[in-house]
Amino acid sequence: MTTDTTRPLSTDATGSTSPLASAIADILPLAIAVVPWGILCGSLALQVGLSAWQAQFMSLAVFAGAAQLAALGLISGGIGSLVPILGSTAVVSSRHLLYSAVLRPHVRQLPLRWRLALAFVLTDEMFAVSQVHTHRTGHFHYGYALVSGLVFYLVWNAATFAGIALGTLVSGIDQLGFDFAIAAIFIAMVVPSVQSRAMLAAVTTSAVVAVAGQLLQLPHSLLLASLTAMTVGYWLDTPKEART
Amino acid sequence: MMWLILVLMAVTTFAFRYLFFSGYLRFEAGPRLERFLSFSAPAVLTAMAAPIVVAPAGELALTMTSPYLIGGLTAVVLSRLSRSLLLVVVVSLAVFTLTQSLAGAG
Repeated sequence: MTTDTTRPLSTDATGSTSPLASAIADILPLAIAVVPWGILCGSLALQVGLSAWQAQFMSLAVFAGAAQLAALGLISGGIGSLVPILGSTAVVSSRHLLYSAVLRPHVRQLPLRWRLALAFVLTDEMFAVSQVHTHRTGHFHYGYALVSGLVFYLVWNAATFAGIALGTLVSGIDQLGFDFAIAAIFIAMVVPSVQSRAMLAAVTTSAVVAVAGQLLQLPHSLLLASLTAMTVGYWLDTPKEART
Repeated sequence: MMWLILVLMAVTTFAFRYLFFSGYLRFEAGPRLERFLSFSAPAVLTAMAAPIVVAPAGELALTMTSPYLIGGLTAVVLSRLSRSLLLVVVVSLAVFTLTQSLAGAG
């Protein structure tokens, strides 16, 4: 995986689709898959006592579904004060540090406004699609990253707005199996990237540790699973210098 | 108070996203660290997908009647056979829904 060059808005290695069109096409399945969660954030915020403005502001400014839902859960559970919410936000959002570190070599020579904009729309999904695109084309396209991030931002906020508009009518939406759609998309993105024993071991490790962490209710299970998996992958990858 | 909480949540999340983008950070990732980081996307995505497929309600569900497990296995197999993300997702969603209704009726 090359990390030394950034390429401005141009066609990718195959010369077929422009990065901007790909960005929209690639992020759209994920954006659609999280619409139920956006709606949930909007209506749940109202249910726990936020005003419509506050509910929308949450999605506009925080733009982190997991952190938003965690905070709303705390508020509905009666522990919605500053310290618990910020603590929970820090824990849940900690994986963004990893994304930030991974993208650092690609963005550090970009002007400040680009780094601020890309950081603002840096979510799991934007990270995932832009990493896949980088692997596929051999270059990081900051236009691709920004467009995919912005599309996701728009859809997320539109969904939140819909949830606010629907008010208290939305309940049990998380029991309809919408989480499966997200899992299916992530699987479809991961499986093609498993091309070596090191990657297979990494992915397997991640799955095992993540499931164990969830069952044992460990607080940082996502980050723990990811870092463990990356360590396993790196360790198995090191002797095989000839493999690209 | 809620407005303060929301603003601080936004600041926290943005700070984590922006930290390594900062020009003030004197930090060079060598080739070994970059290789380590290259495993990040599949690791994170798997860490998010695996619990959903294997333990959707917080408990292990490894039976043939679990729509999540059957749908998940379908997604894995199809991903090996097809390059179309849309195909994989649509078919495995269909399998998920089918398993859900069959298992529910059983």
